[in-house]
Amino acid sequence: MRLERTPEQLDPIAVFALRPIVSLVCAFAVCYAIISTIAHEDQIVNPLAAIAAILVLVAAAVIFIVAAQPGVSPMRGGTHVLVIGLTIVACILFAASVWGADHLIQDNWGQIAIGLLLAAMSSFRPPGEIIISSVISAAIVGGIAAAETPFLVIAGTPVLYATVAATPILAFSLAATGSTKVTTAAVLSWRATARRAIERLEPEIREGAARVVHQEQVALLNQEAVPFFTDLLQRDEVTEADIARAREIAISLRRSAVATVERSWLDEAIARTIVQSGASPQCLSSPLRDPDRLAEFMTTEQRGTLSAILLVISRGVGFDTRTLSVTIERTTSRCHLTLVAHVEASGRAIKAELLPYLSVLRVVAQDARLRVHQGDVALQFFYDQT
Amino acid sequence: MASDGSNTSDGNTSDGSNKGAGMSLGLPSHLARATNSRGLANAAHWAGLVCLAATLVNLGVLRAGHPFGTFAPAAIALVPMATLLILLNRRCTVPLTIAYLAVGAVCTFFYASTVLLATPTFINTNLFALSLPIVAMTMVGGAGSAALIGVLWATLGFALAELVIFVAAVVTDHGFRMDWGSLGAYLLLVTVLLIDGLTRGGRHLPQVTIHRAIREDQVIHIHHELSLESAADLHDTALSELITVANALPGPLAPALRRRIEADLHSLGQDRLPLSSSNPSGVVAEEIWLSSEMHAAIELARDDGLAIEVSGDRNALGRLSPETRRAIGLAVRQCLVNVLRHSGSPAADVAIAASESEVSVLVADSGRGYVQSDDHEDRLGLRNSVHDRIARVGGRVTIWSAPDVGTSVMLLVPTLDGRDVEVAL
Repeated sequence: MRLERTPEQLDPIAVFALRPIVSLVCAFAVCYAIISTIAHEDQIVNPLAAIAAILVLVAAAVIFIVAAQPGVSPMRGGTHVLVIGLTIVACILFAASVWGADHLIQDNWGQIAIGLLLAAMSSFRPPGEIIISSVISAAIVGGIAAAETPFLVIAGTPVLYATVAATPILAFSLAATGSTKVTTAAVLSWRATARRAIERLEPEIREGAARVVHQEQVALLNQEAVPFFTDLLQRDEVTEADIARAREIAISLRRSAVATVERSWLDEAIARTIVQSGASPQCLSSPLRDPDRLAEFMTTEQRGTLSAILLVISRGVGFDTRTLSVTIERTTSRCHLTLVAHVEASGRAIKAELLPYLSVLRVVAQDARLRVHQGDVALQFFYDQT
Repeated sequence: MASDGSNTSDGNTSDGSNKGAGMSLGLPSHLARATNSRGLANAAHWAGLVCLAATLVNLGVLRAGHPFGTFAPAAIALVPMATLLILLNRRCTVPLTIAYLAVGAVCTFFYASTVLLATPTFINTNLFALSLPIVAMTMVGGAGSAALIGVLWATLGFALAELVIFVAAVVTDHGFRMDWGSLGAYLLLVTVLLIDGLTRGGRHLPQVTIHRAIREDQVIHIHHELSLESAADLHDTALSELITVANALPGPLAPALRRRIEADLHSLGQDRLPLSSSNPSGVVAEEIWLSSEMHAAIELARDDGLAIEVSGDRNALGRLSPETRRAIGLAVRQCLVNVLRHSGSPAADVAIAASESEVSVLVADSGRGYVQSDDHEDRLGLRNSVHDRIARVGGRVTIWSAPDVGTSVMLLVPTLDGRDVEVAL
């Protein structure tokens, strides 16, 4: 999946936190449109067009709010075109409703509604796209205002009224893109710093891990192989019993080596989850079903986000480790991961806690979906096997 | 069999580790606060510049409609205002903010007076043409990261602009009427600033959890990689010897096999890193470091998104008494909290060095820094909390800091040997 340089895709958790603001902006735009329409009562010549304008704006607002939800994010260019296109249509319908009787351009709601929605859209779409959209919107709304010049109460030129209508749209959208440019630049700079920090941390981690792995190997060999070899060297002779014993130890060591090779990072992450929930991983068979070892194809971000989700679930009150199951299967061209668990908590609380992570997963993986029903959590997503 | 599996998995692992290359998602909270403030200030400046550009277009249109009116002073008045706004956008400082408001007020007065005098058809000040510079003044986006400071600057800009429009109306004998457009822009800006102030920090826990998960996965990944190497080693050494014994005939141990077994046992005792049986001090020192308050403080700050590089002799902590180790760990934690809260820096360095009698820890960042005479509450916190804690265990603290250069805090504490020397003296 190709990532775009939008605030939503670069910093999904931050934009998730801004989600209520989208609803607020949409509600404000609709309320302002209704109040402005009522204030234009004496100028409205086509009430049906005025009502249709409000309804079309409501449709644009609803589409925008739904598209900003973490369950359907990230927002695509098509949604942007649809939302702003509908708002422009609403603006044209309002202009039609007061055509020939409008007093002033500056108290019409069209340009404010477009400007507000474009500003909110800047968290979801790239700055270049927002600027193109704002220029087109400003040209259309400015053109309509220019055409209204003969009917307006204040004498002015078409250019003057085009400026009056276009200024709020350009001001809102340029302000919003000015803000998102700063934040996206900061995120990209931080990513470079974080990448360098992780690279610099690797020798330290490797040193500690090497010590642990070596100790694990020594502990494994100290159980049977080292005493056997020591005894063999002392006796300097191979007996029938030694041959049989060597075969037994070899089988045991081989089994252990194969288990190490077959154990994936996800097995380790799940074991950590189980430990954090207070249960003993040894008491359980592995909840991971990954016969084709597809977990290895996940990216760093996918791994980090899935691990974080496992951590959140393990922290949940009443999480029963026996209900945890993670399955990875190969579909025609992608890998499909399904996670199922049960937590003794209200579905609303679990969902509220997991939604920020879902917003990240929607960006870093494909078709991520979360379903929570009476404590039953079901998460699934797809990723490429490349 | 093990070897085959190892090869397959190696291939997979290297593929997986290359994707994403250790990237982290999103800005950590300590950087997000300052970035949001900069972003909002930038937004306000762009909105202000659009308003000033629209004002110039309006003037052009008005001049064409009123051939006898003279609008040149109004156009000239906008130039210094726009210039200062561009400068403010480049460098948002308190002096520039004040200069913009002062120059903007004078320019707005000249602009409004000229427009009102030149167009007698305008009966009052409720005009789109006059609302534009008021909005530009409101969008001052002043210096300061706190939301309340932003609200104060915007209020000051709006009030000043309305005041000069009022004076211009009185001077030119026009009626004063506040226009709803500029008031709406002011209220919108204040709302945005307040929402920004209220929603800051709301993403802290998910961000920290993901940062921690990414780092822990890096540990798991490296451990897994080394385990595969270890399994391959096992296959080539002990397992190979066991298979040779299993396939041997009863009788004396073959000299070649004896040499291989001796080499295996020897390498088990000496291979790569010190073992618990061969070099206990190395492992103990490592365990002391991993269980120390300083290590915990560094991990906590890393969870918060601070990139920390630790250099020097970490095992030196083993030479401190538990009390001193705890004191220096908590002091480092306070230093890192200060970096997170105040420096605006994405990274910090922790350097540990030791002599016979002392262990030194330097915590340095290249952030905003501060004037050391500044008695801000947080600076006092750094001085008292860090200084007193270290002084109680017989150590000392030195702080170097300068604005825009960064801050370095050097903590020096006596080792157990150093204390003995002190007592002897």
